[in-house]
Amino acid sequence: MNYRRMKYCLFALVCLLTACTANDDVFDKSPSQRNKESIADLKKELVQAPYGWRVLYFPKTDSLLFSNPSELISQQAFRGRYGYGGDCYTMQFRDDNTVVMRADYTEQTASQPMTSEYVVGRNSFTQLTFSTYNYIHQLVNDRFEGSSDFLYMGRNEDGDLVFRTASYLQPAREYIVFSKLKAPEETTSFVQKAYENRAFFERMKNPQLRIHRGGRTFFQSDIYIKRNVETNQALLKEIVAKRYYLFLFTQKKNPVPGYPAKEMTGLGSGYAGTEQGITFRSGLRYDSKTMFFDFQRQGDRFTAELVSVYDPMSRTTRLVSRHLHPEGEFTGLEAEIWDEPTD
Amino acid sequence: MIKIKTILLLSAVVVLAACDSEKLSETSVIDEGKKQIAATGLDKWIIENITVPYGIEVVYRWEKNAGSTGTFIYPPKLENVRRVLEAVRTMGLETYRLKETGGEKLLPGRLPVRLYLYGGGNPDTHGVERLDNPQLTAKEMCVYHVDDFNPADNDKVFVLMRSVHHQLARCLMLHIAYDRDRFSMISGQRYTGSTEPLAAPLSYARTGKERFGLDSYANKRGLYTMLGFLSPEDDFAEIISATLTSTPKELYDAAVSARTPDTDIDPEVNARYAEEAKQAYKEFTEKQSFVDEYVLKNWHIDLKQMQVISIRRINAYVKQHQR
Repeated sequence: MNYRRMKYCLFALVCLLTACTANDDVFDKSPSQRNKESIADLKKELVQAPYGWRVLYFPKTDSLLFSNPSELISQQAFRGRYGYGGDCYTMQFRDDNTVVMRADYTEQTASQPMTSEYVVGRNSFTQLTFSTYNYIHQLVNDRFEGSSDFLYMGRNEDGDLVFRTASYLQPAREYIVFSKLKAPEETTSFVQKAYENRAFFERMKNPQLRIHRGGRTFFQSDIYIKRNVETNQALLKEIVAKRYYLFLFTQKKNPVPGYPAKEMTGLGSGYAGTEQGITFRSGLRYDSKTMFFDFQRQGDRFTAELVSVYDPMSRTTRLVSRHLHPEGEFTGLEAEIWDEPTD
Repeated sequence: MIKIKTILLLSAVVVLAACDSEKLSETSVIDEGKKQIAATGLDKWIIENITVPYGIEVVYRWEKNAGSTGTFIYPPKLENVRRVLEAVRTMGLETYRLKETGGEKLLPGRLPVRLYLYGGGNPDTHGVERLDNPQLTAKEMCVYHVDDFNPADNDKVFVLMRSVHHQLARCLMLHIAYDRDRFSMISGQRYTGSTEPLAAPLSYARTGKERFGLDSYANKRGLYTMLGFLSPEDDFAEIISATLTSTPKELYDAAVSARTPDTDIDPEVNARYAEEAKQAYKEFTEKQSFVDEYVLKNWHIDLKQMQVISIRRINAYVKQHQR
């Protein structure tokens, strides 16, 4: 080995010895530590809500279904083709990995808590798993296609916890949001109110929707869908079973009196009851900006007034219901649902 | 020159010794989630009554990776878990351990290593429910409809035991070989490999017995049950499972059904039906003899005798809970 080659070897060795300094770490903790911390953080977050969480779970939303108010809908195009709504729960997570749950399915499930086990784990995401049976598993079926595992995605603009499942690759195919409860009575009353509000909406014989700004009406439904006749029973069952409602407007009348409209347009969405009224997901979408999600119950009506709210984190403005953001800027856009009397 | 060689040597030693103090974390990241739940009274009962005596781990908590995508299975209600496991033990495992049947030595090492419990059913894409989960490995078994199980209900107990005996038979068949080729040849043309052709005939079934019991549609095609159509292995396990959950009279009636041709006003069609019934009966009895002989020679069990014992135990179990 000649002298020059020896020098190169020595130089290479020096490089080798200096290559692995602590500064090369991208993260200051090992992957296992970070995994452990993310599990502990989510569990701590869930447990440190003494009154629990209000959970809205829509396992199968479709933002493209009945979301174009200009699109013609034929008589046979909507029966059997409704989308799916969701449910409202309250959940109290305890440190011993048990969760106490109430659900808005029935009066009984809203008042009787059920306790089961949960696990916070991690695969690709930090994951909340409902490992033993509870109310939420009633949505795990071939219609609603619910899941026992929720993947934690982070917080939304309002600070609520947002989850998704591994069932869908596409965005906005499900809606899982945990909102922290602020008072002890909310644990029991929220889900009961959600049940009452949903039941009230479902009891409406002829619910109609109007979207307007002041006196200018953008959309108003007028078709009596819930006609209680033998030939319509399948549709009536479908509305309640799937928790989906379609508001239809007569685009072209039928010349035969009393016959269904020849051409219709409409707006539809899955729904769930909330403590304040009713929520639609993926919303009653008049256009890409004007979308109504949360309605407040006011007497016999459900109303939603959109206000503009600026989010300093994302530096964007969004339209939300006034009853959720009373500080929002006035837009004048309103929607209301009422029970139109039938002949 | 010598100096440089010394430096190189020293450096090499340093490089080789550099990773000496590296240690792995004592906590597994994978176990982190599992460790959160402390063992309950039910867990202890399962360990004492199922896991230790039979070597079967019972999984009743939800494990995502145990289910395939596109299925909608969920964990069972806790109040029924022990009841179902007691039934599996009494009417399934213990029946094999009796002196008159397999004795103490047949099961050890040949049982499934894991048993999954699910609250509801698991219909496949064609809407057909199976007795096992084809996605699981050969050494795993599962029980569906735990939430609906009622030990006083004949039909629920029948479905549970059909599933348990089917899966136990499959596991034993795996460990104690039989002439697969010879058995497969008997009804070779009957096997569908898919549940799609079974969906229509099964859509009329309302009870568990109608869905999973001896079926004249299958009998007239040389098989015991509808699920026997799926594959020779399913057919083999179905023969054992259906035998252990049906009375000798029911089995005799199934054989009669196999040899009784349908009738038609056209004599040519009648002749064809007679020919088909002859073939179906031949296959039915040939497979019956094959399985009886295999069970006798390899498991050292008289299947007919075990059938009577099994049925008596099932009836006694249901009656005990009806009181």
